[in-house]
Amino acid sequence: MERKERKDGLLEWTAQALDIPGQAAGLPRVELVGRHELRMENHRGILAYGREEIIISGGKVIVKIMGSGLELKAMNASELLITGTVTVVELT
Amino acid sequence: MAVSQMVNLLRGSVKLEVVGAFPERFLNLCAQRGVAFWGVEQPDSRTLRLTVAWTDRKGLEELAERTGCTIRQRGKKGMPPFLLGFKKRYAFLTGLALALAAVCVLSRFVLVIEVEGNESVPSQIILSELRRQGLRPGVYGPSLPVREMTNEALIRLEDLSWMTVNLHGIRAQVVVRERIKKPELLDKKTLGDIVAKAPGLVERMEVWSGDPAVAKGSIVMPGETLIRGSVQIDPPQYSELPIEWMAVRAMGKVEGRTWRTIEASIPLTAAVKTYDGEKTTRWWLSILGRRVNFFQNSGISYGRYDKISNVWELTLPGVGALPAALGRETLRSYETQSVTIDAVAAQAMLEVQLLQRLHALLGESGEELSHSFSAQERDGLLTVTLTAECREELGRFVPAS
Repeated sequence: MERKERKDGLLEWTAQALDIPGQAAGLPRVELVGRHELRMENHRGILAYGREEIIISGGKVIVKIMGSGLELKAMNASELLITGTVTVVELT
Repeated sequence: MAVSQMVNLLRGSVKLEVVGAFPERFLNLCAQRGVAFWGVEQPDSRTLRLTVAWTDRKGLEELAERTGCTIRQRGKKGMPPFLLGFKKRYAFLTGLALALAAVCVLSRFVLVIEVEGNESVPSQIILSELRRQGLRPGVYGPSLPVREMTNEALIRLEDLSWMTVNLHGIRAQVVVRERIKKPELLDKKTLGDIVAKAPGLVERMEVWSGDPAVAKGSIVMPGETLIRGSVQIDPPQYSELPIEWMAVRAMGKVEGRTWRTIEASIPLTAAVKTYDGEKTTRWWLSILGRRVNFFQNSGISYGRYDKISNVWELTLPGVGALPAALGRETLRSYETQSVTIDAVAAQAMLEVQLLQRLHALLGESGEELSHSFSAQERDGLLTVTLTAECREELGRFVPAS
């Protein structure tokens, strides 16, 4: 786990140093379209799933999405799409 | 949305229920394996419901085992599971295969033949000739030698100049073009006179060729020469040469007034049918031009009878009549009785017929000026006479003998 965190930190540092987009370097990218659609790239999997709260691993960062009527609309190995009414996006 | 639902219906889907301590891990594994899923619901913290494509359903049990979950199928929908339901219905599959074969094979047989482009040549004559060449309902379309068939038919049907046969599934479209007839040329080589065809009073003469034999106001009899086909050629003045005659074809118009008398008769008694109540009904079926009778004895025991035929053809909307028909023949026995007909009505009928005959005699160029009728009953016969004053062309060409 420690090694993975070090790798993510290295990726972030490399992206900043080389001035390249973070998602190109494999860093998670969260995109909120209005209040009803949230897309996330380079995720590491779902940690918890519910209608009011979905927790997603982004590697070094944990993304907690809160709202109502949340639904995982589509998901593949690197991207996911959540619909519903998003009220809070919290990074920990 | 509608498109995705349509695609999901076509490719089929399975609704699954995953139960375990961490069902989210099952989702992560699915995502890593590239298994598309949608419609994720969480009824409780240990349960997830999701829908996957029909083709991705295999191997999910193994993923569930790896995540410590149990997986259960809760429903399926779409085309593949629907068709899979018929896997063991052999009769249905056989019927389906036969129906498909029928559609593929039977659609290559000609069932309907349509003729287009003919105006004066009846369709039945064209169809009859094509039948002789092999094109008939029930024939296998791809085996028809269309070019040879149409060429042969064109040789036999002289009034047609062009023909083609287009095959559209069960429908054969015969397109024809009729030959344009040559205009009738005036034969100037045949010499002769114009003579009167009916007695009359000459009112107008217009001589184009030849010498006039009568003058305006003359009364002529049938056969009398109106315009002579010989022209007198006078010799030069003070010449001693004889007068010569040149033979020509007499041409011109001679209009005159004529008085025509036409008669028509009708018996005052007529035979009327009286049905005696006896009748026989026969049914038959015709398929591809072959008739099957549903009766054995074709003999008719009645002395006099009416035959009433009813035919019901099988028709398809947009295609027309197919070569299948059900027919019924009803034979009704009758006897005749002699009854007296209404003389006034009979006279009125004869008068109408006489006027029609008169107009046919006069043709388009003639006209009727006045007419009167007289009727006479003799020996059970009503005779009506039409006397009409007309204006018409008096002359007709007679070749010189």
